[in-house]
Amino acid sequence: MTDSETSADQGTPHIRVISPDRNLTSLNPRELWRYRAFLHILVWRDLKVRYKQTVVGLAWALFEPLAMTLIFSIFLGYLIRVPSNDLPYPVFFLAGFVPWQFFSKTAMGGGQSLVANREIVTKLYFPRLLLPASALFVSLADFILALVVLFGLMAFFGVVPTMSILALPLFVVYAAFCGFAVGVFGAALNALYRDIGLALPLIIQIWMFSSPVIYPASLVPERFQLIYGLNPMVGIIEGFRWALTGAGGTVPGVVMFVMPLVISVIMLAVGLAFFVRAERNLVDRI
Amino acid sequence: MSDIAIRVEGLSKRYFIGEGGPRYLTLRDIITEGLTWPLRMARRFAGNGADDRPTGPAAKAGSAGDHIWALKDVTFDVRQGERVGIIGVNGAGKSTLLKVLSRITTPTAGRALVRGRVSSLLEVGTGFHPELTGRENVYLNGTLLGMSRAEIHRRFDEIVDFAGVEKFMDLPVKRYSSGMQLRLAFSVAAHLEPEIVMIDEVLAVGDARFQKKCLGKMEEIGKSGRTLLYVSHNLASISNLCHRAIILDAGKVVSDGPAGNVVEEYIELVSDPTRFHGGYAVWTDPETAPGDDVVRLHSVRVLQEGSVGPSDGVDISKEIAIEITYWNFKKGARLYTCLHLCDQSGTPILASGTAKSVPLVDDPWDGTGFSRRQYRTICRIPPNLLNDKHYTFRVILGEKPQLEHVYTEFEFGFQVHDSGLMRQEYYGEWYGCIRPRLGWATEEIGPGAETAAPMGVTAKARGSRP
Repeated sequence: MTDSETSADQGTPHIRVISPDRNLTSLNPRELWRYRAFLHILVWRDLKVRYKQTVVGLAWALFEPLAMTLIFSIFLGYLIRVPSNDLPYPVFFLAGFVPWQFFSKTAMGGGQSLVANREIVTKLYFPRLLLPASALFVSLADFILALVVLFGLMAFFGVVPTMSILALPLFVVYAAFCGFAVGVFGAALNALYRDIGLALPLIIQIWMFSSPVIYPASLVPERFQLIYGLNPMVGIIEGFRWALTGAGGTVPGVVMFVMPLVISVIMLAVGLAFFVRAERNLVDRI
Repeated sequence: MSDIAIRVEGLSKRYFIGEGGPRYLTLRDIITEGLTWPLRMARRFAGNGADDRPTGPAAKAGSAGDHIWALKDVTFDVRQGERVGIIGVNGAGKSTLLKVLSRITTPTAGRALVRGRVSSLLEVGTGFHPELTGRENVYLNGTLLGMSRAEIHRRFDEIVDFAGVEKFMDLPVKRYSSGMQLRLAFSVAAHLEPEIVMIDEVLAVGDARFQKKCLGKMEEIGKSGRTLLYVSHNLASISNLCHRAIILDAGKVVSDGPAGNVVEEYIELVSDPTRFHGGYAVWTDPETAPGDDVVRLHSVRVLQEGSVGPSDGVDISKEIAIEITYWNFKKGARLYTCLHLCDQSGTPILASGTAKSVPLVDDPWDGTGFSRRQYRTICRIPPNLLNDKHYTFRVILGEKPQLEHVYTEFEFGFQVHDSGLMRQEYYGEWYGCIRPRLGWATEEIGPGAETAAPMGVTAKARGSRP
């Protein structure tokens, strides 16, 4: 069962053109908007299915960041004594891990989304982009829960946010862009070559160690900072941590504010361009 | 296109049939192409004209013959409210056409204009998410049609009622039986009030009662002014349901017109392949003829009492002989011959064979060991048994007890012509699959209505008194 170009607001059927042409202009924002109810069902389904057969349910979303914080605090904070920008290591870690997880879950969920939903992809029409988009919203829900844990931890260690917290949404948007871009690109590629589904977790793992999640960016020698900053997650994580705690900010401003924006926009453009092009024979190959 | 619901213009769809899909898009190619792109661009700018051909893997695709055109230059219009049947042999492109028109896959060339909301129920299965419950799936499909929750809610009970799955609406669809899934899917597609409904051979599943219900619903869809595109192998349902039919063959439209005529044409097309001309098919090479190393078919002929040579048109009032000749390669094989006969709508008419007590008179060869020689078996169909229709049949040659060595398609056929002997009073289309002459008699059994209560049977013979 599929849709059409009917605009709900007017109620009169439009003429829909089906043709092989595909480019960035095939991304029809109005159409995406019309399918919002469908997106809503997709997101809700993912959240519901995840916690359906669990005992503690939603508590898992809180438990995971806490457990990770505990492990890394013991090994890196307590035993190895990794520097943490004058913050208690648990707060330092979690303030980096929360945006990181938002990014990585968006990217991984998005990357798997087409293949995981091939049952409906091969049988129904809807803008395919909604699948990686649903991964974004699902991880956003997780992100908000993790943020609650983070605030709790900050309160526990007596870390008080400063005015810089006003910049926080900026870095959340950056992280969303970045994760969505990787998710969109990965989704199309994974539909064509399953290798990607297997490689993506590894790539994300390596990416995490190339980003200042468990260590501060200041550990990287100054002359490499700009190259290091080509990884948009460097600026995003450092920026997120700075915005939240007022501490850190050891990377240059350009790495924190400009690089993530420029790079994630480029990534998103490339990802979308690839996605719409691949959309043409995606269903025949998935 | 004020009253046109679907306009298809030169639509083509190519599929790659080589290993792993299109050769020009392997991961390695993408990477090498990406890496060498600056190089190639530089070269082009340097004015190296000789190198202007595509150097990338794209060049490989054109020359490699590893693709098929599932649709090739398909053009037609469907008016609003029209019910169009699409017929064709397997692989003719019917399902691909519906998939392209419902936007699940994209065409390779050409374009289509579709006016209005489309709901499609495709051969590939139901458009349900296996993890979601039946209820959620109904809403999911509704939202895909652009309906609001309230609209779906209004039709919900009707949908569930039609599908007959009330009890299971809160179970994930993955736990449904395939019949239940199909029933719900059909019900959703039919009830969500799209302007255009596309249905692909769904009646193959589901029990007879539900099939009947579906056909009724589809008729209703048509009557309510909605447009229906219907793919089926059930020719009878096409000619009953649709105004118009289109034959697809190897991805091309080969015929388009009133359903009745097109269905007849299709029967001619499929029941009269080139090697069955004039009621005669022969395989001269005992190596490649249909069959295996035990028995192979040599020829099949339709013969008519009183005329010389085979014919694919026979007289209704004369005996028809179907002559089958074959080679036996296995000494002592206890062979049997069998025929399946069906009419033009694919309705099975009869099966008959040489096995003991099946024929009118037992075949003396039945049960005996055949030598390694050539044999001829003739089946005689009595006059005035078949109606004036086109019939097709398949030939089965087997070895007792139950080993089939030759099992053909319904590739042989003949047309029974009405010589008019039975038609002294009635000239319309003769109802029924067969037309045997039956015994009829009427007699006077008592006084008339003025003197006694009405009782008695009136013979209604629709003018078919011989």
